[in-house]
Amino acid sequence: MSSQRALLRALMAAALMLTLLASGSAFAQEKPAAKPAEKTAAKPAATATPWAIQIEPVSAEEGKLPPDFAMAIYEKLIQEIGKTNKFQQVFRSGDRRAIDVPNLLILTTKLEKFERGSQTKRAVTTVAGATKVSVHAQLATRDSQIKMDKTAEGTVRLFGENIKATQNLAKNIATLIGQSSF
Amino acid sequence: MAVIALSATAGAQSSTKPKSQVADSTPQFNHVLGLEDVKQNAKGSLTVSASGLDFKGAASHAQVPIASIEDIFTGEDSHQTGGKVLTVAKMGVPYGGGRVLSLLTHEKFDSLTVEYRDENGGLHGAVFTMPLGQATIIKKQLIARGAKTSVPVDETAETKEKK
Repeated sequence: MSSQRALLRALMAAALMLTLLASGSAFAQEKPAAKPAEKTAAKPAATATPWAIQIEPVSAEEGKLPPDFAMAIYEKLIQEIGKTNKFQQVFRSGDRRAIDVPNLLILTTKLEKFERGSQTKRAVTTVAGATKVSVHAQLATRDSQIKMDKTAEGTVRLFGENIKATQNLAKNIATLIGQSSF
Repeated sequence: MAVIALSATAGAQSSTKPKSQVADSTPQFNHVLGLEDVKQNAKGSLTVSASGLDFKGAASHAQVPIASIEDIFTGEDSHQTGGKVLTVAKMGVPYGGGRVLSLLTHEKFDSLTVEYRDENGGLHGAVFTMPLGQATIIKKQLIARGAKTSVPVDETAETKEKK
């Protein structure tokens, strides 16, 4: 009887340990993308030419990206790029004040892939139900000189609502911009 | 084990039920992002007046003038209820009991996306989440006040039915 109890206790402890380990590794998977963005945010603007940036909303084929996700990516990009301190000014799409700015870079993003997952699926299975959004980001001057041309992805694999993928994506794009030299 | 699972289920149900009761009387609106001077994920009330779309949170207030609204979209999604506390509690339930609880603690919600321009012409996008059925009501009220939209309300309902 006592050996059965001991076995049951050991099994329960093992199950708890496995759950904690799985959650720990999931956190570890999501965090590294954030760290470079924080590092670049701490650095002062290192470019010789003081650039300003104008951010355009994500372009996607009709019905491929939900409007709340598209707007969340746009708004998060403005926040995250502002945090990098790489640009003198960050302008929204259509801002008339950007017309007279001499050194203006325009950030355009085009949707490559969007997979809407499910928070419930993630919570139940821990392996399925991930939300993934992938975009092609291009940074160019007014006269179409390309300064950066890369693909970035944002995912939610375990914890958080689907829309959290937009935050990860924006952080990754801001990191890429922070790392690029122009 | 079963006792823990049952008590956690009961806890989850009791934590979700009052919310739906509150939602019946005064719907809880959540500002996901996009309004200036309002914190992300702030809860409050969302109303449509002659001057515009008003969001009133506990410590913040923002208004989007009707004339500045360029487009309005509605959508639907689902999420887990109970927040971080329940997520951690579910992790502590052995034998996968937490996963079973996750099946019981999810709810659907509506999302409302409002695209508008500021005084400099800059594009903004405000995203709100709210109980099911509320987004269409707000959208109808905004259109009635003269707000622009590329997707009429009836069409939105039809696409939802198709899904």
